[in-house]
Amino acid sequence: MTIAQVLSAVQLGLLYGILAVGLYIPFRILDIADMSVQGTFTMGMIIAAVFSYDRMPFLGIIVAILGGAICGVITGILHTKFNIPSILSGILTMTAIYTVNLIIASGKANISLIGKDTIYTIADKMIGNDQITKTIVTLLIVVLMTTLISVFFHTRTGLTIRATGDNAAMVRHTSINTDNMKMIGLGLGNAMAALSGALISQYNLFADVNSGTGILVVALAAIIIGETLFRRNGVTLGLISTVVGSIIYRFIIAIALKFDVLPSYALNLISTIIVIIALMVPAIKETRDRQAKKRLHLELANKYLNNNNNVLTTTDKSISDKKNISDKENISEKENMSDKKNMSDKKNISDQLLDKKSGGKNE
Amino acid sequence: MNNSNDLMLRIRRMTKVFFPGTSNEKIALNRVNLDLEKGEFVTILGANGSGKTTLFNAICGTLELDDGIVILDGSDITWEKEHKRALHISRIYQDPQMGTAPNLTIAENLALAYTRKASPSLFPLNKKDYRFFHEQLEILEMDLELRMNTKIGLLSGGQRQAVSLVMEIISQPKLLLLDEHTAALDPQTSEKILDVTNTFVRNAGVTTMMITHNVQDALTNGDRTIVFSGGKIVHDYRGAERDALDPNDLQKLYG
Ligand SMILES: Nc1ncnc2c1ncn2[C@@H]1O[C@H](COP(=O)(O)OP(=O)(O)O)[C@@H](O)[C@H]1O
Ligand SMILES: [Mg+2]
Repeated sequence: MTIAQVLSAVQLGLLYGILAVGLYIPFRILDIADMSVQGTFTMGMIIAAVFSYDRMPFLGIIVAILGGAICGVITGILHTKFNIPSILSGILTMTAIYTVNLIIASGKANISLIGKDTIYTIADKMIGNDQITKTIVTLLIVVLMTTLISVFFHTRTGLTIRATGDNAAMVRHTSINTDNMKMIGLGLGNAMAALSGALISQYNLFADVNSGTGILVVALAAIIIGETLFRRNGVTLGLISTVVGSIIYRFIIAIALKFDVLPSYALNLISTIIVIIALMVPAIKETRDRQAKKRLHLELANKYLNNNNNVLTTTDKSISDKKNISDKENISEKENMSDKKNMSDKKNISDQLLDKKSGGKNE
Repeated sequence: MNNSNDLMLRIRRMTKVFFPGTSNEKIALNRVNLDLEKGEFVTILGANGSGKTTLFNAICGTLELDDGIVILDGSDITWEKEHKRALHISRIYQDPQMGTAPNLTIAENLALAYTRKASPSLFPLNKKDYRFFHEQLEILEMDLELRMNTKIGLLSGGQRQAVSLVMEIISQPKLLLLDEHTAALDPQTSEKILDVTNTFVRNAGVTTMMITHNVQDALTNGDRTIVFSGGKIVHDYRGAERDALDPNDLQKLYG
């Protein structure tokens, strides 16, 4: 890969990383798969392009963010106040936005910004190198945005939003209106999606009402690649790993296209395959762990049954002394322990075996 | 006997019928009357399906009554929304998962519960509140104050229930409802949680109702025991009469 290709992958990774964060907030923090993100991403593009066309690139970004936030809140209202399932609420908003975008673009399907000022061309006049400008400006915006969102999620409201996604019933029991929390989260997520679209239209000097197609999978890929590599651990790390995931995703795409694995119009298919593979990893891991555990278990069980049948009777007394062995919590605690201490801790597993046997015998 | 100003909770004619008019009709609460004095700690016994949980649901507003009045600390809350009542009513369930957010830390869970009572601040985990949470956790003597930044989901059921208890107490409710909150725990842990429950309830002087299926626990904790059957209160023991009760006799009564 040439330096220009690397820089371009980083820039695109950062730009779409903002979109991925926009999906991360509803999807991972609120546990709502918000489809309206696709609409607000395109809306951000169109709004920023229209304003840039009229020589107001900065205002365009601000208005795009506001527009995205409003649409997110509308999805939230549909979902919480009218009890429409969240997926459907998102689809409704997304579909409506398509028309709104055409209205904003005065009926045109696309807008070209060639020859117009954008935040990138303006910054470039000071820095003097197109590639460096694009990288630095985008990086600064991403760092600023990630920091602000991370700080926000540590405020009282932010904490309540996180708790709403984690255990909404419990939040309601602390007398907090979870509907409002969902609306704030959806508003914030869609504001980020719109910001991403706004920057991308100024970056590409082009906006199209159909640019949203397949964008959800791109964002999903970033989130999941990030989680596969860095695990899910806290909101700040989650945001960072999502952006990093987005950059890695761009490198994967760049490499796939470079080696002509598939033609460039196959992008959506490549994205989908990446997401499926990343999603399969935990399931495969789980199956393998289970198989290993089962083998070990059977081995031990056989050993006990063959070698000394009286083990069961001689230890019966000490077992019944321990009482509560069949108690759910007790067993699950042991399982946790054996998970952690690794499964080769034979004593622990054989203990469990005996426990279960004696339980069955006594009954 | 009582001045009504000393009453924290007054329930009159509380009635709830499930599936009315069908062959499945079930009268879960049958014109229940109940008064609780301020600071009173009442234990509740009753066979499965006798309406104990439904009573709590009705008090919390989880379900709407067919008839009756609920007055909490002098104000009529019969038609108040659930999340509004939650400001004054705390509840702990049998399932330790219910009361805590698993992906948040102990400190964050406590901060959330404390939101309504904490002095206003942008960040919930400020020094002052953190120290307060630390002190409260120390009372448990379960070393949880050393693990305040651990995710709740990594704790055992007993530890989660203990944290729930602290959460409900620091939110300073007028009424604390415990619905078999030790039933999912092993005997030692259960005993420990009951111990802690007593400490917190007595320290805070909060009016409390505790459902249990353990007759012994019902008689040794609190200062009054009521027995539910078929959606009605069939016994109400307190004072000397309660002290004289033989757990075995009581077991037969409601068994
Ligand atoms: N939401 C509900 N819908 C229908 N029936 C219910 C509902 N909640 C409780 N019941 C019924 O009301 C009766 C009392 O239940 P409950 O209050 O849960 O008893 P318990 O004393 O064991 O807590 C039971 O017969 C139960 O099946
Ligand atoms: Mg019950």
